[in-house]
Parts: sequence; C-alpha cells; structure tokens
Amino acid sequence: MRDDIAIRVEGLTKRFRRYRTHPAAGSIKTTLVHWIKRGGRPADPLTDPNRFDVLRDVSFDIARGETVGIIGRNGVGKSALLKVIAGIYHADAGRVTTHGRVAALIELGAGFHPEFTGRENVMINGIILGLSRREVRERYDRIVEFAELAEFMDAPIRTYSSGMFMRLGFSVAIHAQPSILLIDEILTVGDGAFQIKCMEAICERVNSRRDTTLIVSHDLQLIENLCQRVLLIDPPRVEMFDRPARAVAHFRTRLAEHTAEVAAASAANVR
Amino acid sequence: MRLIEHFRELWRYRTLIGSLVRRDVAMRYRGSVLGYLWTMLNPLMLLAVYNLVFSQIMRAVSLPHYALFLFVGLLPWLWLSGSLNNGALSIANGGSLITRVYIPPQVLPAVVVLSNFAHFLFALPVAVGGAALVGLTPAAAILALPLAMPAALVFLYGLSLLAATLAVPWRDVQFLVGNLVMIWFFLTPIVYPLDSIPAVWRPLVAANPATVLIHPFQRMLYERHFPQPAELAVGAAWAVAAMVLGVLVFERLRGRLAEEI
Repeated sequence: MRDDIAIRVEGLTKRFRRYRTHPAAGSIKTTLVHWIKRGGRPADPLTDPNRFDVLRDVSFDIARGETVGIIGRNGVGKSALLKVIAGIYHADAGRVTTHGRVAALIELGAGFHPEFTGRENVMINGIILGLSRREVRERYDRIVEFAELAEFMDAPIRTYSSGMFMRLGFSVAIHAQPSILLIDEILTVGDGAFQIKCMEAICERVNSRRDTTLIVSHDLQLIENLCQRVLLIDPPRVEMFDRPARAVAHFRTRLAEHTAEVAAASAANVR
Repeated sequence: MRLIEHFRELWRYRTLIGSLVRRDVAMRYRGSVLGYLWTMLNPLMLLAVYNLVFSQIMRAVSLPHYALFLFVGLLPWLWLSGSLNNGALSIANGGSLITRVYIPPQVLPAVVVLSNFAHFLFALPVAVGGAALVGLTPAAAILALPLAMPAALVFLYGLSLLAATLAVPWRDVQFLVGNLVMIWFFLTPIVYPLDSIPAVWRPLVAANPATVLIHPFQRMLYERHFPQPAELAVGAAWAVAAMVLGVLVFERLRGRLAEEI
C-alpha cells in the first residue's frame, strides 16, 4: 500500500442476517436442523439465503490527512462501513487495510463503568482507544480541563449527569488523537457553549491535515463544510465519491425525489 | 499459525487486560464494608456448610482435618466455577466493548479467568495459615504451588473462551454451563477424597480434568507432598486440548460475534 493512503477498501462485501420472526429461529434446535440439512457444512455467508447485501463490491482509497464524509439514507450501511473499517465487523468478501491507529467514535465512553471514578474511567477508555498508560497520564490534565470536570474526577461515573458523561467521553476521544478517527454522528455534545468547543476541536483536527477523519452524518451542511470528499452510499453500492458540493447536491436531489414519491403514494392512499 | 496470532493479539492488548482485571478485582469489593475480607469469607462460609453436612451430619467422610481438605479443594474449584460461569457471559454481555469499539473479543474471557485467578491467589495465604492453625506446619511442597497454576490457567482460558463464543449465537449455553458446573463439582473429589470412591469408578474420576488440575493443590497444601510429575503432565495435556479447542471454535465464529450481540 502506498504510504500516503490511510484506508484502502477493496471489493468489500458485507452481508447481514435477515431476522425472521419465527420464534425458534436462532435456537440450537433450528441451527442443528439446518446444519444437518447442509450435510454438516457451515453456512457460507456469501450464498446464505438468510443474509442480504448491505454493501456489495465496494472499493475506494482514502488518503492520509483527508477528511471524508459518508452520506446516504437511513439504514444503507454507513455505520456498517465504519464498523468494518474499525475491525468490529468482518468483511464477508474483499479487504480493508488501514494505516495507523484507528479509533471509532460510535458511542462515547465505551467501557465506562458506572461504579468507577471519572479518573479510573479515563484511564481505561484511553487504553481502549489505543493509548498506553503513560500517554493517558500525560494527556490527563488536558482531558479533564477540556471536559470541564476537574472537581468531579474522583466521583463515580454513575453520579454524572448524561451531559457530563458525554463531555468526558468526547474529551478522551478527541485527545486520543488516533491517526484514523471514525465518527458516527457524534460531532458535538453538551450545551451550546460546549458544542462550539467540540466543533473547534474537530475543525482543528481536520485543518491540520495530518490525520484522517471519516464522518457519518445527516447534517449535510456540516459535511459540505468539513470534508474534502464525500462518499454517497446507495445500497448496496457507493453511488458517488466526489467533491462535497457535487455529492451533497446529488443526494439532495435524490431525497427530494423520494419525498415526492412518498407524498404521491400517501395522496393515492387518501383517495 | 492462527493459534500464535490469537495469543499475539492478546499480548498486544495486555495493558487493557491488566486494567480490566484490576477493575474487576476492585469492583467485586467496592461499596462493601468488609471489602477484601470477602475473598476469604466466601470460601469459609461454603466450607462451614460442607463441613457440617458431609462430616458432621451425614458422617460420609472421615478424614483428619477434613475442613482443611475441603478448603484447599474449594479454592481452585471457585477459580474454575467463577471463570466458567462468568466467562460464558463475558462476550455476550460485553456490550459497547464488542459492538462499539474494536478490542479482540478474547480479551473478555481472559480478563474473567485472570481476575478469578487473582481471587484464588488472595485466598491462598488463608489456606496456608489455616493449615498452620490446625497444627500442620507448611511443608516445602508449597514452594511448588506455582507449578500447578499455568495448566489450570490455560485450561480455564480455553474452556471459558469456548463457552463465551458459543453463548453469543446460543444463549442456552449460559444455562447449560451453570448446570454442568454444578454436576461437575460433585464428580470431582473436593468434598470427598479420591480414595473413597469404589475402585471400579476411580479411573473415571481420576481422568476428570478437574481432578487432575485440582488434586496437585490438595496434595501440596493438605497431603504436604510435592506434586506428581505424571499428574502435572496430564493436566498440561488437558490444558493444551482445551485451549486449542477454545481458540479454534472462537476463530471460526469470531467474524459473527459483534453482529449477533
């Protein structure tokens, strides 16, 4: 892989299980019956009729230092794509190669334990995001200062308000400075003033052009402003990977078409 | 190759494992008044009950210092049962650690086995002290205690990993494990000595991996002899078998784990 590429996705196919409402689905009994019917072979995820493609044969490269937006309608696999890049999900076919430390900001404060203090949780959360113990200690003061929680760090997390919880989680994540940051909708947290601070921190990261950032968001204005390129997903394929203005405009047209279709259908129903 | 990569991955995440084990150990006692004393009180209470039932009421066993015999068998057993019962749920209940960030899922059963191992180590001085209290001065054999630990550690990791993996697609596994562990307890010479079993059945009980892994502790702490090399070797063989089985099943299913939680 070339040195200036941070993420390379080649021929990626991701399939999800189709859940049936049959009460016995997933039980040991049904699984055994199916297994025997297949003659003892494991189900092949690529041909299994109980699975469907979320992403099919998707390929693209993202350069180091680039900020890329991912847009598309609800449920088209934007988060699934992030999770495959993060390594949380496995690719059913194809390959994802990443260069540098990856951290996923899909949920804030992953691994926070309610009974433990803010201080203890910062340590574990930082390690989960790929820092060493020493790195967490070095960044600790900055993390606490950013979160504005200095006087609460020795209190158990369960006593935190949800806003405080999010602020601390966000602060750890932004100070972890991974070379590849995957953001799923969580761009800002807290009240108005804190949200501005979050946005400033993200802008600083994006503008430094040193690290790579992937952002999944439905806020198209924001995507247009922050990103250098935008990936538009129309399942199960990538429909467009282009400059933000073009991709967003294209997606807006699509959304408008869809809205018109829905309006027409409901008008037909009323009649 | 897969096997090596599996453990290399665990090793890469050793800082996280260390932090989670420390948290697990601290967690068990946080908010309780007696704190660490519970490490000792838990087996002592079990001990009191079993001692009363088997030695006093049923008069089923008559061993010198029966309570001590029970205690040194119960300690490794609690390590085993804690690892399997909690290990089975570790991935399925891993929540955001599995579905929202990337950590190798095998980290979670490893943490469960290691924190139960820590409790075992904390309670060990009580066994040695208790022996001294009833007049059995510790023999040099206790220096060999570390010899019996690695096999148990590896065995429990393999089995917990297996249970944790299978419990993701089939939640039935957690209940199965709970019941099997209870039956297994009575099939293992802990409340009774191996010699008290009819000769016909003895080879069967002696082949039980829990017997092989727990007996060295009874031997060192209660019988006050050095462990038998043959027994340690059989224990090591069981450990490797459990570990290989656990890792192979895990590696086969791991791609689906995060999606099915």
